[in-house]
Amino acid sequence: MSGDEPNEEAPFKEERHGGRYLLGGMAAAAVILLSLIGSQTVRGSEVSGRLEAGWWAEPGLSPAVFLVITVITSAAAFFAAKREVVNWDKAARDYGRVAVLSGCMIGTVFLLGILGFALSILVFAGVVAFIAGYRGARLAMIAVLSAISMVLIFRVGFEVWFPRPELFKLIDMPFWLQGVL
Amino acid sequence: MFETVLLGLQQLVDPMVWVALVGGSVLGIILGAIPGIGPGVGIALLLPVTYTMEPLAGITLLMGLYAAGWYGGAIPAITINTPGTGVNVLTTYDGYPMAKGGEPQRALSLAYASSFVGGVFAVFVLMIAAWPIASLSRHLTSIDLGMAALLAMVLVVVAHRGSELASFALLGAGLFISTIGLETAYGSARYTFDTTWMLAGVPLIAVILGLFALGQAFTLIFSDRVVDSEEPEMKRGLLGGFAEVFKYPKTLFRSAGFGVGMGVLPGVGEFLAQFFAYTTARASSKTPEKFGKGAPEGIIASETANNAVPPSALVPLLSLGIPGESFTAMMLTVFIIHGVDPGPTLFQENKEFVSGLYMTLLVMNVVIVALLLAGTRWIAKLSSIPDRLLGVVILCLALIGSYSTNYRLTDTLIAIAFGVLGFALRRANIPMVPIILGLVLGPIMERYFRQGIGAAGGDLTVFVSRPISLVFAILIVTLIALAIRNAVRGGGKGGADVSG
Repeated sequence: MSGDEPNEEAPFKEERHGGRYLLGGMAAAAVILLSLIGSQTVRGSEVSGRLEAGWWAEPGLSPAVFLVITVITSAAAFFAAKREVVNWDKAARDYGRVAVLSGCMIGTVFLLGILGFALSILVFAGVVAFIAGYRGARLAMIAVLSAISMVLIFRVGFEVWFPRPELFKLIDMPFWLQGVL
Repeated sequence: MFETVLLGLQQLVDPMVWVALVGGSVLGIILGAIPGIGPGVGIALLLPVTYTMEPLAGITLLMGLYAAGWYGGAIPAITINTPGTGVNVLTTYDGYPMAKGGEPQRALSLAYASSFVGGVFAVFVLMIAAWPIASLSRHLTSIDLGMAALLAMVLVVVAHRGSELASFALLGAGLFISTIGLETAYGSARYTFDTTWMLAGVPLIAVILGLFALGQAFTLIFSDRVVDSEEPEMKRGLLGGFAEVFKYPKTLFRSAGFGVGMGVLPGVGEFLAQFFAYTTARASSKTPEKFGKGAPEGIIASETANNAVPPSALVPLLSLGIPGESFTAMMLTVFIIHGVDPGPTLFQENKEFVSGLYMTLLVMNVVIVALLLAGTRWIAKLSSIPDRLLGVVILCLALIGSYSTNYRLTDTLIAIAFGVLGFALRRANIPMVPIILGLVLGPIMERYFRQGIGAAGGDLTVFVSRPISLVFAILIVTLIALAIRNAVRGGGKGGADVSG
């Protein structure tokens, strides 16, 4: 091994973005959750109809221990971490896009009950492809092919059931087609 | 051994096992060959599907994805100098120069042959080692098993060198999340905020889909990665490597040994296995100057080591019921869903399952190599699929997967929340494995400790009164002390390298 160059670097040395603040946020969240331990867990002696098992079986013990570990280690990581310069504009733009995508996902869950599986996925894939930067024929192709492949995988292949959407109550459609779409 | 083989072959009669075997292998190769995805996303997306399958078929599907992903990841590493998965990074060192030098088929052939030897070697080790370890574990008490689970978690944290504190924090968070819902001792609710949907706890599938699939999709969808279209010309002749690898038997079997050793240890895995194998191969080579310029031993070392890890990672899972990393943690959920209890009883009560698993793992390596030999030319083109398009597809799959498990909006919301967390963790280069291990091992550890301390009437010396738990305790304390020392030293160098 003497001829080897020491390799101390991680396999993927990447630029770090906001990890310090993420850990700081975790520490704060853990402190808040720890402060709620009295209201979010009960004491064993207060549970009616059960014999008290002992301190080791107290419902609040494990959450308290795990939260204390989280508070100490995330706070230590926060304070020990390198100072970093965060490009807040870029971070806001990136997380804003993620928020929009998340909103689309939530909206699609509601759409499933109205438009049905195939149409909802068609709309969702189209919107997501648009957000990803696709336009025109490519966008249409991605949306249609995504919807078709999802129908084939989940509805035809795995026969995943979904509730009957409102739209199908208004349209006279063969039962088998409703099952696919 | 003969009886095990015979029993295992009988399990291969089930057509669903073959569907899972071939399907998992094909998907694994594809996902491995597309840079930036890897088998983790595939396992997360297919996890809900495996719950409806028989345990053997479900585990085979996931193992197919896991093992084939590393095989497939070598293709872009060699052809376009971009590792398909993180564990193929060292294959680029010698694979790409060899391909650029006009021998892409030789490089690919060496990679496939080395992966095959590593994979098959590790399956034999699994067949030999799992049962004796499981037999020994019958003598372990609840405290011993709880300490083993704790040791596995601490090993995983310590393995993330330079990120120990952040890993501990995420482990703590995962352990805490695992306590949400109804607890078993008194049947009382913990951190449910008076909601009924949280009584069943945080759904593991939603968490896994969020962290692995959604987090990756959010990253890919805005990726600016430029696809390198310069692929070397592929000719026929991918079989030559299967003879050539045996010209370097020391490198081959030493690397397989590294892979097995690192695979059995929780948290160590493919990264360290390939680094140890590669550096040792270079140090012991007669021509170390050729490493990094297309040395066949370089490809053999890295690919043999990383493909020996998946089967060996099953050793602690099958024998002790303790997963050592995120993929086997996901597989443990399949066991739990089907009421199959990993550990010593598994080998007595589910002999057919265990034997079948051994045989499918052996056959899997043959199937994967056959698929690669037949389809490398087409698979190589997959690496040119734009990241943004992959992001759209993964987002669709993750959305359907998260909602269709229980048809609850809350599951999708949880998946989204963990998707955002996964996105943030990726950006910050903080490992996600500890949170998953905490979630999976938390309830197991809590149950064992409650049983053990209860049986001892609350006497805490039970942790050190038996030799096995005493050894585990010493190891845990030593590892934590080393992790703290590393973190403090990092801080002394002008800022701790704690991923923050």
